[in-house]
Amino acid sequence: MNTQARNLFLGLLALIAIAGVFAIVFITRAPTTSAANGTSAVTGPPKTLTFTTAAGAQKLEALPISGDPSAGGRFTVGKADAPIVVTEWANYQCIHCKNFSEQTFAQFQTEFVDTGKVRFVYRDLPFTGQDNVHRASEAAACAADQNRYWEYHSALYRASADWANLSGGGLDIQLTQYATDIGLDGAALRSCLNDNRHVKAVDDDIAAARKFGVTGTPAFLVNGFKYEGEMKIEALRAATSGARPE
Amino acid sequence: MVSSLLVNSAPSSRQATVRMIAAVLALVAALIAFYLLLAHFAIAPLVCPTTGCEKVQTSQYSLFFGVPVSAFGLAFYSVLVALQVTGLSANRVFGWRLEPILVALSVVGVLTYAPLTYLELYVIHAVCFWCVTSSLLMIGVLLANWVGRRP
Repeated sequence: MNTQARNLFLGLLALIAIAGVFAIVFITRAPTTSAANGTSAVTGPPKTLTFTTAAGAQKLEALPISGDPSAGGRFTVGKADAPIVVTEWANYQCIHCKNFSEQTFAQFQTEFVDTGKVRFVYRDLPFTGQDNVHRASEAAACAADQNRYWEYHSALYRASADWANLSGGGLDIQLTQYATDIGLDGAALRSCLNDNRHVKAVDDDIAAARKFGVTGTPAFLVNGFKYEGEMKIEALRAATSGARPE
Repeated sequence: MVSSLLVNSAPSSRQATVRMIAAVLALVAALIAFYLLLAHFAIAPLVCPTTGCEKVQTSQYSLFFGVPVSAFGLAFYSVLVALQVTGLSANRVFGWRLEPILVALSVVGVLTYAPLTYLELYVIHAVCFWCVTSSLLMIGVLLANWVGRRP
């Protein structure tokens, strides 16, 4: 191959690479909207929240939303009249949701929830085809019937790898076992699962997620903005402060 | 004849053509891996033409020794693009013959998709559009390099 032809081809490759990067940037910038029912609570183009961590300045994309994402939320912690509400949509098989639950939530609770500054609302978002995550979300609601939601919630994340591949009766046995492990009435939880008592409630959370254009987990909706992806404590500090994404 | 092939480091016209095709396919696959890596770290939203991408990307199998699988893909395809481009003007790299290297890397690439596809179909029960596209591109790279293994 002569040098001219080779250089032409390298130019073409560079063009493809640049076009690809532009396409990715376009996807990244496109506001997420709900396709489910034609209505969307996302009200404008993405903005950026800037904050500082020990590693330097950080930026977080935020989409403005209208409406109250916590409305209909079943699992909350914090003062009912707290000035700020943080609503998280999460999935029991999502690694970043597990990370948030296990690495960040305790500090977040100490710093914001226990001090009355924030009310935290957790909502379920099993994805299409994730029947086991839907079932686990139902089981967590059954645990809430026994007033032990958050302990069971943590147990589900802790053991997420153990039940990832289970389904049907085997999954129900395991979900019941987690309940008895933390001192719940296993028979009552099993009965609750068998009655499909909370199927609709989980579906309602999924429908609400669509309304707010939540397509991935975790997603945090704070102060009229939606943040997709895992938030560390510094990001939550910034999002719950007076700072507005610009 | 054989000795002349061994010392001749310039690719034939056919080899150059198939390596150009393989380079384009590998570059597109590298861009897909880059996008999936951004989506993994929630820098870009995961846009999926079909259902299943979220389920696959949020599963425990999206990590290998704690590193996103897409990061390995990006590194692999970047090396592949570099080698395919090198192969436009030479048949040797660091003194090694390029043809067997390209075929071997392509076979490794295709074989890597086998367990990943199995996990999608039989364990995660979801198919990721981007992963399938990427695997088809890898098969294309293998076919091109197989055709280009001889002058």
